[in-house]
Order: sequence, then structure tokens, then C-alpha cells
Amino acid sequence: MAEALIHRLAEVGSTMDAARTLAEAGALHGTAVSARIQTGGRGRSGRQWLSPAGNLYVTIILRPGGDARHAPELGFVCALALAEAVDGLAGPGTRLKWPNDVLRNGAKLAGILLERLPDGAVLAGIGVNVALQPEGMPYPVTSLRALDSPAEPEDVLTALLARLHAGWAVWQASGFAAVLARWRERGPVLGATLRVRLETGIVTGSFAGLGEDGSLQLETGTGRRTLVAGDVLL
Amino acid sequence: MDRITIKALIDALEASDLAELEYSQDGATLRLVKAGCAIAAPAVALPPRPPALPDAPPPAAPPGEFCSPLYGVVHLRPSPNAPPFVQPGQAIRAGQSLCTVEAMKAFTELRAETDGVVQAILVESGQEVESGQPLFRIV
Repeated sequence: MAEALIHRLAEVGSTMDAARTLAEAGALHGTAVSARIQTGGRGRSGRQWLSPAGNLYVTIILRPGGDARHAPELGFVCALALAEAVDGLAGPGTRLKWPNDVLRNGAKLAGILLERLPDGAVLAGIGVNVALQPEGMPYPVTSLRALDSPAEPEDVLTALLARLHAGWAVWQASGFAAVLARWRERGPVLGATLRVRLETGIVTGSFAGLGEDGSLQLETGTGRRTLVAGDVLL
Repeated sequence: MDRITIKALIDALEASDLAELEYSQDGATLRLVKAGCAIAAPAVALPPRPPALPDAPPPAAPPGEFCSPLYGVVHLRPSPNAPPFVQPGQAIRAGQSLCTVEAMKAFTELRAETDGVVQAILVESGQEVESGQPLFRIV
């Protein structure tokens, strides 16, 4: 197998767009595009992801094979890899918020967004607050620097890719159930109260576990709900 | 600096013996470094992609119906404030984006398989859809 490249850009609109161009041109599984600055970084629902120099912005091109139903599994694989990388850089205690936000002390440290292209490639876009944490966010945020970690974005990327290499092998060999079992160790405790913002409003319930596809199971006053999209509020 | 320029620069670097390439345009600077060169951290090659997973193929859709390949929430716009991907009555080309389906923060982009006209949009944006559920009628 030819070696996958890391493309390190000084500045880009969005690493997702740059990676999409590469993927559509046939870039190999494992190819990564990182940027020191993004001028048009984005999160879920087209929300802006502030991207000044000092943090990590990277998109990794994954080619999982299989059909579209398996693409969501990769978000869990990436979130676990990132949580393990953060543990290594800032000490244990990294938690996960459904489906793939990375938390420290109840505050958001990193976010992941995935896009599946028609040819089956999945772009995993990952933003990690390394030196800086954005101001004025509607939820608590933190950074590695605030956690007294001296890590630089390149250190995070190196650790992330190494953990992803290992996590990908687990996913292939043992399947998604093994990934979910490891996610649960870092997720909310069963029965924890969660508030989830959906397009139709906010639903509140107690955490009742994950479905075998990674969906969020919530026990509400009107019965069990299975959620596949939404923002769990911090 | 647009995607085509960035892609051309990446291709030029890959095809060359250079370790690094820096390019400035309109005040923006792009610096490309080949993995394994100059910067300490090498690319970590991920294990090769596995063979396709043995899934049963989704059921064949009736002619003219474009169905979701997975369970998730359908989005008919690329972002909440953007115009819709397609409108009823609109002529479309094969490969044109029709919608995205979100599941666990993974967005699957669905594109038209053939040229045609969107006769009807069968779902609302934000609605949950099942695998195999018709989303569009395209004639």
C-alpha cells in the first residue's frame, strides 16, 4: 500500500473542502489535510467553527468499504481515538458526549463532523482546542492549554493518527459492538438526565444507552425515544 | 485561493522531488510539506481498507423513486439558511446533490443517479427517514 500523506496547509477555507477535492481525485485511505488557520471552518448544521492559529483543524479521508449504513460508525471510532490521544497528552479523564464530542471537566475540547461522499469515502473533520478556546460559545469550552498540557497541534495530530490506526484495527477485527463498548466507558452514566436539541425543539430524558447502530436511547415521560440526530446540551 | 488552485499545487508537489512548496496569492499563503519531510511527525499509515462488508443490498426502489440508503434525518438544504438542493419541477443532472441524510453526526450526501426532473419531494427537511424510504420522485 502506498503511504498516505499528511497535507499541512498554512491556511485554507475548510479542511473538509480541501479533503473532498483530494478524495474525489482518488486520495488514499488515511490521507489527512490539516491547516494552521481555517477561514471558513464549519460544524454541524453549517455552524461556524472558529479556527484561529493555535488549534488543530484536520480532515482525515477514510475508505471503509461497505455501504452508507456503516458510515456513522466511524464517528465513534474517531471520537474514541481522539479521547485516547487527549488522555495521553493531558492525563486521564476524557469523556464523550453523544455522538462524538470530546469533553474535559464537562466542557467541550473537540468536535468531529463526518461527511460521506457518493464514492463511499468518509471525511472525518476534527477540530481540537489546543492553545485557544473560543469566546462567547453557548456552552462551556476548554483547551489543552487550560488543562496545563503543553501539547502543540502537531503533537495532537500525531497522537490522534496513532490511536486511530489502532482503533480502526479494533473496528475491523471485532466490529462496531466492540467500539460501542469502549464508548460507553467514556459516555454518560445510565440514567443521567440529558437534554437534546432537535429541529423540532428540546427533548429531556434519562440516558438509556446506545442502540446497536450508535443511536441515542432516551427514556422520556412519554416513553422510550431513539434519536439519530440532535445536539446533547451541556 | 480556490480548490482548483490548491489541488493543482498539491499535484505539482506530489509529482516533484520537492519536500516543500509555498505559494502566496492575494495575501493568503499556502505551505505544503510532504509527509516524512521537514516536519518531524510522519504520516501514520492506516491499515488498508477492508473488503466490502457483507450487507444485504437495499431493496430495489420502484421506478422513479429515489430512496434513502440509510436510517437518519434528511436535510433538504446544505445548511439551514441556504437554498434547498433541489425544488419540485426542477430539471436535474446525474451526479447532482439532492439532499443529505444525517445519522450520528455523519452526513451522507445523496446524488441523482440519472438526469431527470424532480416531480415531487416526498419528505420534509428534518424528518426521520428509514433505510429504503422514498425521498424524491424523479421522472
